[in-house]
Amino acid sequence: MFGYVQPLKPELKVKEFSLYRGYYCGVCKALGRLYGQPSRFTVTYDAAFLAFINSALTEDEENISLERCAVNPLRPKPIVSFDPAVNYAAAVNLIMAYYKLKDSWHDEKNSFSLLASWVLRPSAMRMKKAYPEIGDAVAKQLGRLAILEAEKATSIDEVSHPFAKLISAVLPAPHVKGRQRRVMEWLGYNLGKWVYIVDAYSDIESDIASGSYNVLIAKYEKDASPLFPSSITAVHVNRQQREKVDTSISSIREKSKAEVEFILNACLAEIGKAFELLDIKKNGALLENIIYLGLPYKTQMMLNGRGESDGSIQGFGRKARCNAGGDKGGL
Amino acid sequence: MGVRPGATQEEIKEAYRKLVKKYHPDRFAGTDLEEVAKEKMQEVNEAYEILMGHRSNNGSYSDSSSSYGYSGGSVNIFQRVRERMRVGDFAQAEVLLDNIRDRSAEWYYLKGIILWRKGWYSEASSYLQTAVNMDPSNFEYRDALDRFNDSVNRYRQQQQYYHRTSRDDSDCCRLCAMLYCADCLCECMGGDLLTCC
Repeated sequence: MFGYVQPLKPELKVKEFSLYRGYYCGVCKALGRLYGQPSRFTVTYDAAFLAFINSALTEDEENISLERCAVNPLRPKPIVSFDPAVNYAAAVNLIMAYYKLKDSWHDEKNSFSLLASWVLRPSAMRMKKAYPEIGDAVAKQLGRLAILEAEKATSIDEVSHPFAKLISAVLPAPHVKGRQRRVMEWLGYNLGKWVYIVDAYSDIESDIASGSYNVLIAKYEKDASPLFPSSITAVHVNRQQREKVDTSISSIREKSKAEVEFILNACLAEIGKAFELLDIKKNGALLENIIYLGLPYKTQMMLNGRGESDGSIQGFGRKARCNAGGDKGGL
Repeated sequence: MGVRPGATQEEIKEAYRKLVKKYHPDRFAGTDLEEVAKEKMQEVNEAYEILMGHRSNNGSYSDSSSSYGYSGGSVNIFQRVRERMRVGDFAQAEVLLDNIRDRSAEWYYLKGIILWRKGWYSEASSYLQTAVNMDPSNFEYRDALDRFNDSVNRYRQQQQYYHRTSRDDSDCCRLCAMLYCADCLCECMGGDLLTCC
């Protein structure tokens, strides 16, 4: 899910942050244990969220141990281990990374992706054997997405649908059943849609430059993409052309902003409602932070064209706090 | 219901009121969550009735289900679509609807409701808006559009709620600043509020 789902760090308690780190490290260790050391390079914070929300639905306490790791060999860190939610998140993380690499080889013919996907292939096969229906759902929805992208579809709702369905299928772990599963699926649908659209909006610039498909470009500027073919590198583009590209980027951003903002807010509203219906057994405050602060913060940052910030230092700025929802006064 | 054993009737009533507010199905209208909220509401009602020691439905929330059973148009096909929607088979309802050539206001309304349910917010908004524009006097269409917009805008209110209740340390600074101002004002007038400064 490309790392958009994160808590707003300045509002976290220290113990909450280290617990979240513990889940992240737990997923990384689980990847190494279950799918081999190379797969540990694929770990993302999205997988930590996946492990965290599924674990929050069960009453069992986390099994936390202090362990060292290669990135930080001197100081042992708390990690959450041998947790079914963490193992599940590791599996999903792996399969998503595998398809992402395959996709980037297909699109960009980047030889590193080919090599990396080749390395991950046996692990991906093992994952598909352990969770066959998850593997099938991911493959099916990504196939649908590829068809829509090839058709250059222009409806934002339609294009974001397969990815939303994908997240809806992977968000609830196998141990989540019944009513809670239905709620998690709806939360996942809206989260997936949110992620897809946030990603499309922040990629407008690079997609225009590379001539890649992007639903927002297709809808709002049908003649923007072939401004210059991708074979010409940025160095050779003369100034006039670059200005033309700049204006088309900002015009697409402006034209699409209202619709993008509307859909994103609708998704956030539904995520919030679904969250209220979940029976959260532990760690509720951190999940509240992600859902009511982290996601809106990312949304505002991205709409204002500052998608790259991670909310660490910027979160303390007055403007950033206003963007994140409400002005908290202060001096 | 989240009350301690041996809670008083007042405490139970208070907890009940809070839960009714939280799980009221109207807050979750339009999507799959509505049914889940109804189930939760049902459980809360049962727990409340057991705790209060009577089985009458007096004073407890009762379901005012919004049905799609309204039969305004004489066109039979729309009734079949509404029937599918009523039993929760939205996929089949959409197939039926897509086969209809005659795109009246009712068609746009029903399609809008189905898209809303599916999570296609931008499309749902424009279909519902079209239905209202085509037939501005129809209360049902206008009501659906209002409910849709209300449901989308609710997020902002929730956010403000979170901010009000979250821990906030700036109040202390504000209090100091106000005391300082009050002290300065008093000193201007010849008095003194805080003798130390």
